[in-house]
Amino acid sequence: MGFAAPHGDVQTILSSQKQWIYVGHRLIEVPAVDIAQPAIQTEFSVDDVFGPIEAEAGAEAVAEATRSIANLLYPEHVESPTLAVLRLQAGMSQRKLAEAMGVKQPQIARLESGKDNPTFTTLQKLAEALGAPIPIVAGALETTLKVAKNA
Amino acid sequence: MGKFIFHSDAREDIQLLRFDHSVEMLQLGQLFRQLEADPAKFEKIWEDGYGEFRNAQDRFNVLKWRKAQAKGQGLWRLKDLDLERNEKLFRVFYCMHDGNPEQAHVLAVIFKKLNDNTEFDYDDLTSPAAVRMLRAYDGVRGSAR
Repeated sequence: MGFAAPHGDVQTILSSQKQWIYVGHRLIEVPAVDIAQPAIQTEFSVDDVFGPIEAEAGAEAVAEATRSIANLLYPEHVESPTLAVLRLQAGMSQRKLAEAMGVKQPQIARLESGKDNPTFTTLQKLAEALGAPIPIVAGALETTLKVAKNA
Repeated sequence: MGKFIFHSDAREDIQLLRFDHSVEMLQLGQLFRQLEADPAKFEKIWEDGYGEFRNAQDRFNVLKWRKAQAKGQGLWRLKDLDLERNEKLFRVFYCMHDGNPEQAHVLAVIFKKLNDNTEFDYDDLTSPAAVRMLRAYDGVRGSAR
């Protein structure tokens, strides 16, 4: 059974099968409302698909897989890392780093693409979130800007 | 920024594959995440022939699925070369949507046993795996209309 929703002297009782309307003291049955089936989701994001797998695997396994990406996807920057490589080496996704810094993920994307030149405060936040000394992060920023310039 | 959009078939493939290949699926997930995060890498997924098995620096390989492309179906295939070098053969099939190179629709992820084409053969467009990929492709194309 559903619930009564008062509308002045008209009340509607809703259920998944039928609908009744109180008009004054009279209860009138009306045809069942077509209840739309929830749309079937046919498209999924990386988070939708891999989020549950990552949750099941645990944070350390995810961090390990993320670290491996740094070496495998950017072997040329293992020694002189870019900001992206530094993040991957710390086992963090862009979103995780953004959360740790209290900023939005697109800001991390802009930093990593060399489109933003961060303030010293941002650099400090980055260093803290990545667990890396500021000179290392500054060096990574310099490499990032160089790569972006040569792209 | 690039974006991967997974068809429900591909999601199901990954959900099933994780039972036997959880580490590999985790690794594949991180690859997708980083490709989305790096526009310069993401655009490589539309570069036919990108990445070579023999080049240890290459992380993934991209090819057009020639047989399907010859029939006018714009399907692509990506291999994770690191997994490949460890004899874990996974094939990611995807396509572009509405001419937008910033979105890749992932239609299937197929595990291929070493030297075994029974699960999937590129030359056979009538195999169950190929048929469902082509159907998914038509579905994606249809949704653009």
